[in-house]
Amino acid sequence: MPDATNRGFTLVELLLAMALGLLITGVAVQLLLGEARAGGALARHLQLRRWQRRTLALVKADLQDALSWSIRPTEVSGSSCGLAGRQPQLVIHPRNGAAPVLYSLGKAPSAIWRSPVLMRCGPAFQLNGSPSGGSYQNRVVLDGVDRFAVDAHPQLPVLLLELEQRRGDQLIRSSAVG
Amino acid sequence: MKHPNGFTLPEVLVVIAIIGVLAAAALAQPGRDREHLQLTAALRRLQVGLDRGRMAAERSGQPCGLSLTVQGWQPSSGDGLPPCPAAATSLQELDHSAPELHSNLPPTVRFTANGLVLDGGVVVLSHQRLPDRRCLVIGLPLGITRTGRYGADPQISLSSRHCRPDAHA
Repeated sequence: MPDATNRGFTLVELLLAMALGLLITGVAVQLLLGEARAGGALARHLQLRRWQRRTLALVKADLQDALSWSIRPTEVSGSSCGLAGRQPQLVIHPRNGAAPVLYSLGKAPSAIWRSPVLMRCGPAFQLNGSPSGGSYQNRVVLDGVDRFAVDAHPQLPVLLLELEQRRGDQLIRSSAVG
Repeated sequence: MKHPNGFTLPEVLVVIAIIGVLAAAALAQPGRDREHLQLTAALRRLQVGLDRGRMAAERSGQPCGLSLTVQGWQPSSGDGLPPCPAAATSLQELDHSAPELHSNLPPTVRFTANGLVLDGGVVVLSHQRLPDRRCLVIGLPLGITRTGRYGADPQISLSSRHCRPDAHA
């Protein structure tokens, strides 16, 4: 064909080329977005794990000064904080005879926190990190807590603590012995 | 020369270039976005600064203090506390018009030697060109932070009740 060299592209060729190009670009963009999403999910997961570990460390620190404790008591006496419908999970009687420290799980006190929240009713802390002898405050320690399990060890005088949080389709769990 | 019965390469390139310009104009949202991004970044930096203060205290095993100004977190030696080492965090990278900052934090936010936070509260960031205000609530004693939109006038005393979580969170 003598005029084949300057014939140009036909519409069908162009549409085919554009469709192929779009397909390849689409796949590449999907892969990149998926990668970014996975990275974000991993970062959130690690962040939640850190908060869970710090929460458990706080409970363990309270347990270290404990004279006795009770798990999921039906009624709490001597506590200075209102429960507002939250379930008491752990009551810790400090060795120094102060009022009990109470951990409860339930509805958040304000909209910024995700229910259910884990709240601590206890003394504030001093600059060296030990509990102060001051008045008790009821504070949100961690929000969006789906499970806070406290169980006594069958043989040893220690408690097994477990925290569970669900975020989307991932479940983040931490446990400690205190 | 016979009249060509297809598109030539220059024609195709011109068409693709025009489509590209139009798509770019449609995708790049003009105006406000920069202030939005600036507020989001400032909020993120507020959280980062708080984490830095906490970790600085924990690392050194010494209590320390930070103060929040419109420039960001600055090491503070108020209340007889040493300033948190290497924890200064500015709220913005570049010298744009700074967001307005309201907070009910005390002049010095204290961190204990084991990394607990002793002073919490609400911080509200707003920008004169944006209608909505962003807020950050700092919970005690771990220093957990949550962000949202503030639904009240930040000039009057702040309360975490007015900080509503973002819809997707």
